[in-house]
Amino acid sequence: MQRWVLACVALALAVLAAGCGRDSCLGGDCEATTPCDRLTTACATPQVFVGEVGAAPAELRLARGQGATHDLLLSNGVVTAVISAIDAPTDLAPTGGNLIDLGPVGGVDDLTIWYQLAGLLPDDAFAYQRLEVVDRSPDYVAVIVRGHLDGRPEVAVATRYELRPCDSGLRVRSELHNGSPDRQAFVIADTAHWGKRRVMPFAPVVGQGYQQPPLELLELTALWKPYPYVAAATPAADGPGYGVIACDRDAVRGVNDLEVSALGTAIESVWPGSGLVYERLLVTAGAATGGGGERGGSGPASAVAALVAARAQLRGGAAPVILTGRVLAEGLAFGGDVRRASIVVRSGDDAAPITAVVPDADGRFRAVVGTRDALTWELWSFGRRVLRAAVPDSGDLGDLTVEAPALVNLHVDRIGAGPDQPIDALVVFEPADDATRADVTGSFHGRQQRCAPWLGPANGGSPACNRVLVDPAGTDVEVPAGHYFVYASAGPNATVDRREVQLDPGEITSLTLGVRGLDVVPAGWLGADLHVHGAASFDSGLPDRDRVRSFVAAGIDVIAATDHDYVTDYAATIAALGVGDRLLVMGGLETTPLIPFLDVDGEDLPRVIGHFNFWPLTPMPGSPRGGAPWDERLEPGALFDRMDPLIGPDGVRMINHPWDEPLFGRDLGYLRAIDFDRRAAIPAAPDGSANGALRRRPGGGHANLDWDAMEVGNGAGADEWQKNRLLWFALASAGFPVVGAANSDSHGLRDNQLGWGRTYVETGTAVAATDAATFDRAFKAGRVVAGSGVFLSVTIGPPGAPRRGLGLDPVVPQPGDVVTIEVRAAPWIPVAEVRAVTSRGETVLVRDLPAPIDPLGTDGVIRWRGEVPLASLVGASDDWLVFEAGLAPPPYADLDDDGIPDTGDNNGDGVIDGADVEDGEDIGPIANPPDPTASDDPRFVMTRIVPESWPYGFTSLLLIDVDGGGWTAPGGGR
Amino acid sequence: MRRGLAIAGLLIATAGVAAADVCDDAVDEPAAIGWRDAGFDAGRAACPRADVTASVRGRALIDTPGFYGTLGGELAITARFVARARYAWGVTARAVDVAYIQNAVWKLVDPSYGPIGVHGMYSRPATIADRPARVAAVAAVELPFTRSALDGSSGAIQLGALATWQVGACVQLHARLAALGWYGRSITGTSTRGAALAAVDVSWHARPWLGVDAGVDVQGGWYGVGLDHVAARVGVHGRIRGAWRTALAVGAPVVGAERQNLALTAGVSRDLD
Repeated sequence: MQRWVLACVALALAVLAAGCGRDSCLGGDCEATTPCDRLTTACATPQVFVGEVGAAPAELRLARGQGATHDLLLSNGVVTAVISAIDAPTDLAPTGGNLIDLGPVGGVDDLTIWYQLAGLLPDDAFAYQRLEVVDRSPDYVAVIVRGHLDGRPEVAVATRYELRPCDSGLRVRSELHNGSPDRQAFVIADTAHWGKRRVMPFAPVVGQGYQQPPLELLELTALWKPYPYVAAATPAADGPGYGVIACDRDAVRGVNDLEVSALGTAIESVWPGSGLVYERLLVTAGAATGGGGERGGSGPASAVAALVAARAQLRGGAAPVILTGRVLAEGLAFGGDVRRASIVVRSGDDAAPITAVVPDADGRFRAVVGTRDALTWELWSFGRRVLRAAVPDSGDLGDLTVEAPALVNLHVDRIGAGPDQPIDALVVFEPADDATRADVTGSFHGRQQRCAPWLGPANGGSPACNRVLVDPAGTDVEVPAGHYFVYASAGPNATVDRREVQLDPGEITSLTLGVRGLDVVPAGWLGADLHVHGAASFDSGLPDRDRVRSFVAAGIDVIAATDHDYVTDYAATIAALGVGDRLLVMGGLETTPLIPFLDVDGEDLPRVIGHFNFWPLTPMPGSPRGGAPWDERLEPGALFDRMDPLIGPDGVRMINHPWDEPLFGRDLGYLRAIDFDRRAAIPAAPDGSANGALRRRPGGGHANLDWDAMEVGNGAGADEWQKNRLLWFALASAGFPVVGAANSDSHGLRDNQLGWGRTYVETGTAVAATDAATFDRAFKAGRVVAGSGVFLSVTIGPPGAPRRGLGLDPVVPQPGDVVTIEVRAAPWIPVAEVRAVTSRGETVLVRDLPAPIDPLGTDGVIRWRGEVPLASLVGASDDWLVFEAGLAPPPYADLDDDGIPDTGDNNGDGVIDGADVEDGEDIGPIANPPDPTASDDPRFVMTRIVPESWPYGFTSLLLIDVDGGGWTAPGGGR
Repeated sequence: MRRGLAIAGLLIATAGVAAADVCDDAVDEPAAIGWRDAGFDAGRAACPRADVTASVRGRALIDTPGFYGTLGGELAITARFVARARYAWGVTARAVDVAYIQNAVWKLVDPSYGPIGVHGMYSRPATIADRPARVAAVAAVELPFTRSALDGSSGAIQLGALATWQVGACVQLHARLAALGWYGRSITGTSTRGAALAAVDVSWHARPWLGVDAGVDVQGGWYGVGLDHVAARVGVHGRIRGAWRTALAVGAPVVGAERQNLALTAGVSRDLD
């Protein structure tokens, strides 16, 4: 009996000691854990490389990658991947050790980040502490990173990135071990930050493809769905396709959205002492290797082909089906661009979209799918589905003929002063009748903006939506046949030209439009857009070349390049385009914290501090984030401390869109994030209140409100301006007057149009003679007018004597001082009233100003000129003074009584109440009134050029020091 | 922990021989509230018993700042046997466990069964301060590979010393010193935890068929160095009819790092002797 007991005990101990005979990175030998080990590949020239980006052969690097010198590059000559160095975190991830670049060798990178998480709270992100490089060439190379969940040190994690010769993608294995005492609900999921305007996920399930259900974070469990694979691609022709397939389970599970995809395991209960393992293959293919891994177009199909091949190896099943064909228009090849043709293949009775391909320039396409079940195809051209049919058994779709567009050869000249001069400009197509509008309204497979006509993806390069950037040499654009008005604009300081054209299929039309410069802005003032995004931002799909062309076309003088968490200055593109003498572009940065950490009284969830702009900065491409410092988990004061040595003494700190709504759970505006109450005082020291948070000096240096400027106007519309001006005024009343700016916050050609808003700064110099320091000093001195299309000239002094202009230097009124105000705007920009605002209220100086007779003409630039006694505007004590002009602001209401308007008359019934609030919300939205459709509406022309715009302009603060004893804040919280 | 075990051993070794048994009526058993998974840390009296019990246990963990919570319920079957006068042994099987887990984003219902646990006891009568008592040593083991939910294994052990003392005509005092150990092993690694605990319960034989008890336990080490909890519990234990009994108890931690907020149990037992 005793021997039996001993034998049983010994056996039990042996079983325990031996474990379950499998290896892992966390619990065993990581060398023995090749991810996706059932996948085999072969190619003619097997090779692998791993090393720092700075040491990698140039031919293995990717264009447009963000990898810094000390990040790690893995390549097999087919694909290249870059893993961020441990101490170089980017984007959403709390540490390095994440995939930040991926693309086919010889191609480009379109990935922002691909990082791991166990849940969506910041605590649940994988935070890596150690990195090992494994070079087993020629067999494989790998990078292994180890750490724990960011807020749960008891939950260990590890990820192994492995690349084998000939692989079409990266093999990835992630592990998680729950060493906590609690049973946890976890996943292992990769989160790709697509950024909304760039790479678009493509999910092969019923009702999806390019479409995805709205991503509600609180409904994530219900939305977490299985996918046999998921692909993604940018609409741009040179972008690669991406895709992921699980190797150790039937499906990847997760959610897809234009902002992010999170894809991995099912939601699992992970017991203490237990863990999760997830293996997947992350493929990339496309432009460099040709569609489908061979040739045949761009889009997700190239990645889907690789995924189908991998899935066949992993799970067997039917042989892949190859679909081929050619798109023609008027007998000629018609491809090479998603505008011309894009094919979606569907399968099954429910017609689930399973792949999508954009034909090559020769019109040919090739797509591979893993099923023969009820295959159909549909062809989209210029944003509309124009053909659909069943896929024949052979898979050869043959020649698919679509109607040819009209080809319009566009030129825009500056006219009226000497010989006509071809210029950069923006041209907008607008249907001239309802039939054309119905025929040409389209979108990118139902996503992004619907446009009429749809000339290209709204968030991509030109042509985008219904607008085209035109070069001085002329620009050809393909436009669906129809009856159009064509508008040309060179910015708010020039006329708009309009032509009516009938465009016929296949016909070539040459169209030259002319704009005249207008005397809207006096000499010595420079127009600036100090908040601009381009392709370096995670949420912009606009190529650098078109970004810079948009600067010139908008007639802008000064740009602060302020990409999210990445320093750029477009120097190479500006040089290539030869426009350096017309532009001052300052390198800059929009700090964009993404990891919530800030506890705010009364709020359940931690917050981030919103966005701040800093300039000038010098790009450092070899450094993480282009030289931008890590900006997570910092309060503004500490961030300012960190930025000070980088921007120098003349540099600018600007708080951006301070009351913007959070996006994806991340606050965009600091004052909203801390629940600032503009009606309450700002205490002299931190007192635990929301307003007191402004006084904290978290890094020991700057206080949290030590910004130099506030972005009062953000975009062309009135909504942000109407919210922010109240905050700007309140801070001035509390003794914190700063410069007020207006910027576009443009991310593309259609979203927020570059140069709308705009900040005019009186430097006294021409742009070619202005450097960043000169500009910044004038800006910080408050010699500023800002807005959307409207300029105000303001001088103060006794009549007939020297007068002063704008500036933050206090004004000491003298007896008889008058304020002379001149409001200017192009005739196509409506101005109806002029207002003076102080802490005591608003005074309408004039209303119902007549509109110029011809909005497309040159007369009527000066809308109003008046002189007002200064004493009539200010009281007996110190105050601040601002002048505003434009249309009377649209009505907005403050339904939640936080002191800031939040809701518009969205149902148009003339009353703002609960009926205007979006379903499921307590307040909002606050938006501009719809663009008018009647051509006699004062906003009609302006909104053709700048959709969703509202004309406004405002001066910077004038500080009135009544007794000359130094300006004191008036108090109160206007 | 060693000191506690030594004291317990000393208590068992030095207790005088009892003049009468304190284990006559099972309704004097204290509430069996466990804080660890499957209740393997739960206490008992120092009395050998033969009975079968079906118990429903519930637990709640609400961590609002951490955006985490679990609500759990389980059904366990326990059989206890007496082997000779001083030895007892038994088996516990958790027949079903259902946990609802919610954090900031995930909501999950996790059903499982297992583990199976075995326990053994050596017990002998004693007197303490001239009053009858019983002292015992107990070992309970949660058997590895008896859970449905794990991709690996886990096991746990409790080694303890128990004393049950008749301090008054209707009042018993139950004391326990114990050491707890646990491991969880999966492909991703192994975790271990251990704790020491001391518990005392007072049961009042309120009616011939009813016992009411209250107690506290102090545990440290499970969550790392420091106090896990001082937890209080109350319960009632009644004889329904003949060999059938029922018990109901609830407990909550008062101070400490304990993650669980509430534990309760309700059971029906049938005496086998």
